[in-house]
Amino acid sequence: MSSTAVYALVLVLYMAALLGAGVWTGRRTRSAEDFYIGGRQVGPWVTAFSFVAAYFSSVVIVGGGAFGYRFGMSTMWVAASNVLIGCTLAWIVLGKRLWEFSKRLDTMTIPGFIGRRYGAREAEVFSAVVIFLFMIVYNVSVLQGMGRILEGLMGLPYVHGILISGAIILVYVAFGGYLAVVWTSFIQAWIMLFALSLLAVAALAAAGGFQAAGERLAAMDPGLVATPGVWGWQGLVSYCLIVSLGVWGMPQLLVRFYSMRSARVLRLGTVLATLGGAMAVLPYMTGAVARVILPPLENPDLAIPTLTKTVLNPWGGAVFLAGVLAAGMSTFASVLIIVSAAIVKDLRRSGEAGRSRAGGGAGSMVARTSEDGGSTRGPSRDVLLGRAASLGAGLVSLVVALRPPALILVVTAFSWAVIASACLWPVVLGVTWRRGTRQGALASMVAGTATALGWMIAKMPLGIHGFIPGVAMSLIVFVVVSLATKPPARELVDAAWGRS
Amino acid sequence: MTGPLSLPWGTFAALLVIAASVVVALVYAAATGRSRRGGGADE
Repeated sequence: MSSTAVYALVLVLYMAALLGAGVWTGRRTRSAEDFYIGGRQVGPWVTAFSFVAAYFSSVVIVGGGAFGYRFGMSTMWVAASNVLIGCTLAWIVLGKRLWEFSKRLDTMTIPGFIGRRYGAREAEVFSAVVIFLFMIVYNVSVLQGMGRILEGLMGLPYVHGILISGAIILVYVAFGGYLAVVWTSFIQAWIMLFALSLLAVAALAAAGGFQAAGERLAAMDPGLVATPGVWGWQGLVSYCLIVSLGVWGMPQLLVRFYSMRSARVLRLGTVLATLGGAMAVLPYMTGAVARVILPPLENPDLAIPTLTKTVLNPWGGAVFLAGVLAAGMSTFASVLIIVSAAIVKDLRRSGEAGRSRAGGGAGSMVARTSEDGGSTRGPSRDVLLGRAASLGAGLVSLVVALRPPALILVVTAFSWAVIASACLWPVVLGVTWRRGTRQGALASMVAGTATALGWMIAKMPLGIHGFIPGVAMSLIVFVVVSLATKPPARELVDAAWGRS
Repeated sequence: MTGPLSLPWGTFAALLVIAASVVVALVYAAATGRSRRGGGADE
């Protein structure tokens, strides 16, 4: 059997499994709560591993390998921050709180949480718009990653690769909603883990073991085995923060906490997410090892695809390809649900609530903006709208990814930073600090977004990524404006924290 | 140059952070389990 036939066979089986999961879960999706948060009935294994799969996109696997190739073993600190900050602490600090708050405030989305927690419909709309715009752009980069890897490993034309993988995702997301996303992500996490382990073991064997690889790296450049080594503290620390603390403001990951069937899911889920997150070690380490196996590469992004072809046979290569696609597809699908929710649950509802607004205090704001309360639309209509919105958002990303304009490529590099700058502190302080006010939240979101975008337009002054100033500005503005404005109404605080 | 397990010190420390994260997660799971048994339901 030719290698192309092997790749095609494995991919067809893999795609069929995903579609099957979509059809199976679609039968269980009847209400809006099912479509957006799985009816709050998801257990620890699926929650934890779908969290990990959505966290690590194909960009992390291919890009992480490229970082390992360029900077060597110091990139292991990126994996360490992914695990400690991005998984363990995120689950401990935010997990139970967001689960409880989302139930008390009767919300299915992150913008919905922000709107109700602070009694600020403007903040809800603002965050929904940021999520809508920048998540679609973020998905363009994820699709591009999948298209490039299919092109590099299988020889499939870029456009065909994007159309095939994109179409499969659109079908199972539109049909199965959140349940399809988490179940397919659960499967994909295991495929990713197996594929990354396979490539890492093969690469270490080819390099003569970990110790030999380290010695050869040190012989090439001692900075490749030192910390921070050739990367430098500035680059290493800022990248670690971007890819770990950034998670705390990422709606597609935070919404996993909403969908847990009980707070008890957190006990096992925290351990499983931590163990699953440890797979982040593999692409960075493998990228570093690739440096001693492969001849010098002009483009480090080719390190993982080239290594795959060098050390794995066609069957192993096909499994690894499935793993990279799994990483991309799970992220793309998770983002589609979030964008769909932003359109249907936040922007549309806010528009309706805004039209029917009749005045009143902060407490009535909570009641007025309730997603389902007072609505005459049945849940089936919400599901249909959700399906249409996820299809529309996916098609937009798909069309843009076919021939992305230069501006889009620039923005994709900052989309994660902009979303985190808008959402991180309003979410984190929203569940930990009662004194946070409506004005503080809104000002923080606007200032964080503007700073991250401004930093991008200014072409990263001081060589610092826009995430750092964006998130720092957002925090400062949140605290200062909250302390300078009237404390939130007791009614609003009680609605969020529960009556004490 | 190399630290424990023939790993570079920086690499060893990074892996130690990952191992510590697992320990933290296990302690958290045990602690929340205990508090739930002592303090009633959490759902």
